[in-house]
Amino acid sequence: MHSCFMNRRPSWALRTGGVLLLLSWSLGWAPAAEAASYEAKVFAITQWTSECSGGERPSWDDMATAWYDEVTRHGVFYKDGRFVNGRMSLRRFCDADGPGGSATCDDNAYVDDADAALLALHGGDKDNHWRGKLRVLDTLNECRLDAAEGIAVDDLFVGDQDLEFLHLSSCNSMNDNNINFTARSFWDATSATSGARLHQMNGFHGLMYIGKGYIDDYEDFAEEAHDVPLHLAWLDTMYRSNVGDGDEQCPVSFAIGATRADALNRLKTERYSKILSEPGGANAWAYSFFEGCDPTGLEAFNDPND
Amino acid sequence: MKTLHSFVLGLFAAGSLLSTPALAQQQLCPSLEALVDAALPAQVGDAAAMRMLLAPPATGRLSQVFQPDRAISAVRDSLKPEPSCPAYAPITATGQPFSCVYSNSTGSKLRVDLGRGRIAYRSKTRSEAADPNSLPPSYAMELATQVAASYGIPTAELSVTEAQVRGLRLSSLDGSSGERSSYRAEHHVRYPRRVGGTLVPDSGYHVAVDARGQVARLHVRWPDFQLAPGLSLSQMRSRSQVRDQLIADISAHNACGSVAAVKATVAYLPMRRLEQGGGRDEEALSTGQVSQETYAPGLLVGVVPAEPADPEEFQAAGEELWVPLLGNAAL
Repeated sequence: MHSCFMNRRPSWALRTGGVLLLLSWSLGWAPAAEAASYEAKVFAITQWTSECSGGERPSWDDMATAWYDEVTRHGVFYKDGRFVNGRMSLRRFCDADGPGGSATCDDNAYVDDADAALLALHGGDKDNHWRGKLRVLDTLNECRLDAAEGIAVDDLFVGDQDLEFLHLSSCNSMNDNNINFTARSFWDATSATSGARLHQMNGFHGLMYIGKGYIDDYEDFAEEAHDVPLHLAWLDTMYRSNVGDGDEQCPVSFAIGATRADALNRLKTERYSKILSEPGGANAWAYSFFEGCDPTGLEAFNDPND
Repeated sequence: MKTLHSFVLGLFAAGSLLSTPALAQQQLCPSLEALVDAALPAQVGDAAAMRMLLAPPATGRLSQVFQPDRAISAVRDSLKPEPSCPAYAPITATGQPFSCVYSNSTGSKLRVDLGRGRIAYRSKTRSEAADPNSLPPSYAMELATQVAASYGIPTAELSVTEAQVRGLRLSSLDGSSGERSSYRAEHHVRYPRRVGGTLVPDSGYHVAVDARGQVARLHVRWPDFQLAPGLSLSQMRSRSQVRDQLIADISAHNACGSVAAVKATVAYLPMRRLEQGGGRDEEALSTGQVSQETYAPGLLVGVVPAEPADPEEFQAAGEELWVPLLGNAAL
């Protein structure tokens, strides 16, 4: 067990971990992550395919892996899966229990099986939600991963199984016009009975950038989010000025709560080393951003709630 | 393991190999060629400019000036070194660069890693408070400048004219009642680093100032500046070689017509990250120097993808490329 707050249901790994631990001791070897009980997973695409095309970004997995290596170095999270390219298709991210969900959807075994997950892939802004560009087709026959906003094509409903923190290294993953729809991805129909919901999501308003010079930022984020609130660690480390043609890279953090005060308190205090109990609802939300941050491809962040 | 020198030569060889076979391919995209031609700075391929880049001014070393007590005092906190910390010296008794975490019972931490030129101060209490902040941005700028001196950041490298202040804002909404709030919680001050006027893009100084005018967090990425050994003017790549490689690199990741803008700036690039995969070169360690980072002149290139025809379709992520300016002539 670790010292951080445990007022939440244990992950599948923790529930079965006791047996594995006893077995490992009896066999005379120590588990790789002694104290860590939370699962970290990375899903990154650097090369797309003929069936789901996209511009190659060779440094993206290095950036994601820097987060993965660092976040699992502090005794809270352990490495539970690093998925790069390969069969990166919709089934890993869509929710069988979500509105219009298919039995093929298997997020419970992938993104929603983690406690903290980082997704690295191209992204777009569809209606009032982010959509990610997947790498290959599966039987769902779709290259797109649509975050939820309450429409029939929604895919991304997370937190109902396990996930607490979802970091989106993706363009348009937290655009200002989508802010008031973001909370819909934090739960599904089973959340009402299980009480399980996503705690916090982090993304970007407008374009974000890929390159060797960004690798350290992801390492720094993973480290800092153990020391101070996660939302600040994301903003501190992911903000960049003078990117591209002189624009800014604009990180945004978003948390939910049963009430507005609860959402704000969660945003202000939750970190990797202080994981709070499950949010009691998703009717209220709080978020942080840099005033006037002006990215490539969009106007400066215009807060819809100010 | 490879030596730093062979690593440098290997890097240059890779650049050489990259540029040649791509020449034919690049001819197929005149629009990209035009963007690159317009973006290429005048210094590229210019011997006089390269001579200056290879003779940067001595501007001081953070590792020789940094004092933990002074750094802790500057953020007005009380911190003690953790038991594993060695006695302070830029190079410790074991021959390693100084590294230590200072902490206290309220959750404040000062992480010092002089080998990587990194210092981070984080106050959990001040960061969690996030109260409404009515201080003027000028206060935050002045505080950040004062604290920079206390951390040993060489004044000549701190690009004051490019310093930037941004407000960090917290907003909230009750989706049922419509009740909402929005306020500024922190000022964030950021300074880039320049050596002899040339940007050092992996370095920087950042301070977050809370509502009480205190430093809530501080980040210094400022390795002592030293050029990689063995660099010389005779290795300078021609303007056309750099141009060809840049076109090839962009073309490798972006279809013709999918790039909207290219911006290129001459910079000092860290050798550690110039190597594919970003791994640290093992032979570069334990040189007896405090800082384990070395630099080489290169081109920092921002590649802006074109907006999709359908605004609701996917937007390719922007890209930052690094192109070495030295290489082929040495081979």
